[in-house]
Amino acid sequence: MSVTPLINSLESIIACYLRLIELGESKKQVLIQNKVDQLNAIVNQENKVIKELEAAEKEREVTVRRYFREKGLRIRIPTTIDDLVKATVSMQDKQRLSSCGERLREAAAKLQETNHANQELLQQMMDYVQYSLDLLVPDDDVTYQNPVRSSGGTKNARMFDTKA
Amino acid sequence: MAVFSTFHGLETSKRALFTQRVALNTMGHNIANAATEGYSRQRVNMTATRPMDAPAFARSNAPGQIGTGVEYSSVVRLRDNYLDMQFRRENQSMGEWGVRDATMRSLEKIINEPSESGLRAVMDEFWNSWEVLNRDPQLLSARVDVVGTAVNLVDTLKHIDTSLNTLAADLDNNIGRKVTEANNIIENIAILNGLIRKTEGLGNNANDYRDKRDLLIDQLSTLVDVEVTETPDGILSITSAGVQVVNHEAVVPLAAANAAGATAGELAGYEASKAEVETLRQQLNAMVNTLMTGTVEVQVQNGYVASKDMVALVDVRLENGTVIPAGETIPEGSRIEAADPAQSFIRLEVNGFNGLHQLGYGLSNPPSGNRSFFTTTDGSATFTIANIQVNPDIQKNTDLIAASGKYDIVGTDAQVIRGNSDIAHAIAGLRDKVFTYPQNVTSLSQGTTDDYFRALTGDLGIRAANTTRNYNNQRDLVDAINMRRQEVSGVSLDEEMSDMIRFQHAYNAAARNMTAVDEMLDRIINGMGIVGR
Repeated sequence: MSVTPLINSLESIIACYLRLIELGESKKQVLIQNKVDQLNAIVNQENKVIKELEAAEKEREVTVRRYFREKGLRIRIPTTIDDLVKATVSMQDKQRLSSCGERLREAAAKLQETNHANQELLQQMMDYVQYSLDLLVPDDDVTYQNPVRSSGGTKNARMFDTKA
Repeated sequence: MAVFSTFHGLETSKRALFTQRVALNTMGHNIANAATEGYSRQRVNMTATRPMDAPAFARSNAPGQIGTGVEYSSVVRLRDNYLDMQFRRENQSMGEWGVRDATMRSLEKIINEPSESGLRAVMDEFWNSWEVLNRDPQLLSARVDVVGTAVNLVDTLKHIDTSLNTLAADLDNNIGRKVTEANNIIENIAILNGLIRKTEGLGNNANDYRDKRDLLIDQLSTLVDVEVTETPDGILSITSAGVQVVNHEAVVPLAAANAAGATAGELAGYEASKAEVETLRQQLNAMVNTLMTGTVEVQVQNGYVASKDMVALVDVRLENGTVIPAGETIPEGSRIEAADPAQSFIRLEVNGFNGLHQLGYGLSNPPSGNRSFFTTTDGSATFTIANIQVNPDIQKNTDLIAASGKYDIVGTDAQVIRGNSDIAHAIAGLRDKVFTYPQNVTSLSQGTTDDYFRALTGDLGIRAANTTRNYNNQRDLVDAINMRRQEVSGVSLDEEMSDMIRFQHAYNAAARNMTAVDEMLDRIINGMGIVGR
């Protein structure tokens, strides 16, 4: 069995990553410009890509298993690209596999970076929202109260039910 | 019945006219400043004036209160302090990372790898020239080439040193400039503090002064970390770089030395940049010094004549049969061989490139050894990229390059064996020698000089990529807050236009009402009581 199906399945994973990175970048712009309505559309698209990614991962697992079985080798779990490279004989195939692996690593790192940046942006927004809510929701027990009455728990006088 | 003036209607309309005019004026001010940096939208708060009651008279039986119109209670700016705080926090970091990013770019340019003229290429040429000399130590062209590539190597190191110095000096200059800039801003903030206190002490809102002051603090936050505290009466104090620079109307100017205390902002960026420059210099110095003086074990053939007092790692026998045990001093000029007859070589430990070169002899007769190939310009024992030079004697006379490790006695004269290249061989082998480097400067503590330099450039690349990423992230964060700030404080022309129509119609209606009252009065004054005239 040649390495082509292996490479194909890796390629489709890389393609998914690249699309996620692209979506992450547009998400970043949307977050910066505070356009929340567009955010939903992007998240939906992301979910779709993630489903595809899951399918591609399953596909890869199957391909790897078959590859090792046909070579008559025992499969190691988890299998790394280095294992695959070791199990391959042809120099050209080795190179193709490792360059594929390199690209996969790069894409994963870039995706992580993008997600991290977005997370910071979201955190910043959430800080602001939290602050604004704190202004609206009164603190409990600022003043002394009749202990009998306060234990009764009549805490309806607030704009938001914080328990929700 | 409540008693109120005949002209009450006129007064009410007049108040309406005045108030709507103020609203229109403020709106005009908003529109005029739609593009002003740091301006926040202003709004006129209107309230109904105190209704008419005449307590001086007996209690009125008339129903209701009679309204007396409108007045404006305050003109406020729409602004969110929390966003200001968030903005400044992120802006400080952006200032810092921006400077650090620029510095890393400069450092990368100085190291200039990979390239044809970078340090690695020059070092390769240097080692290659020694390999050529090793093959034919008598060849004049090979000797000239060794000196040439060595000078080239030293020049490249010097060039890096000069560039680092220039960069460091630029950073210091920039710190001075930025401190002056910060002090300027600080002074203006204190002046505005005074103006705001005077204005607001009378119960007004000093909106435009406050905008100006906030903008100045924003600008200050690019330069240095700011911690703002505001008293309820609107006076604020600022602490930057550990100094309380503004306290009400008093100012403590920053000095260049305070930059070291900055925790963020461009000043902190410059300080961090200086450290980066220093780190790179230390790394390069460590590389040069280790190559020049790091411990090297070398083998010399039996029959070697000690070029200076030295210590061998094995027992050696002198010509006269005396055995000098390992670790004891062998006097200069002794011809030595291994005490163990099975060995054809002696193991020595020397200090680096120079130590090796000192073992050898040049082409001149009588043979003279113990000469350093590289020397320091300042006579220091420690080599740096700044003080390293090719021994000027060797530059003048290439015969002094010590490739040979042996000489013979012909008659009574000592004569160098010109074809011997023991030392050139050992020196060429240094290229692959694994040295131990000072631990605190790089990630690599052991390796060849090539490995070390590769690790050094790799390190630099990773740090540069990190600063760029941090800078970009920080810029995104600042952009996002700015966007949110604009949503709160920015002037929306659409909104102002609809306000204009509102106020204009209110004004017109008030004027129309005044006309109606006027007509009513006309009827009373001019149209009534003229019966029988």
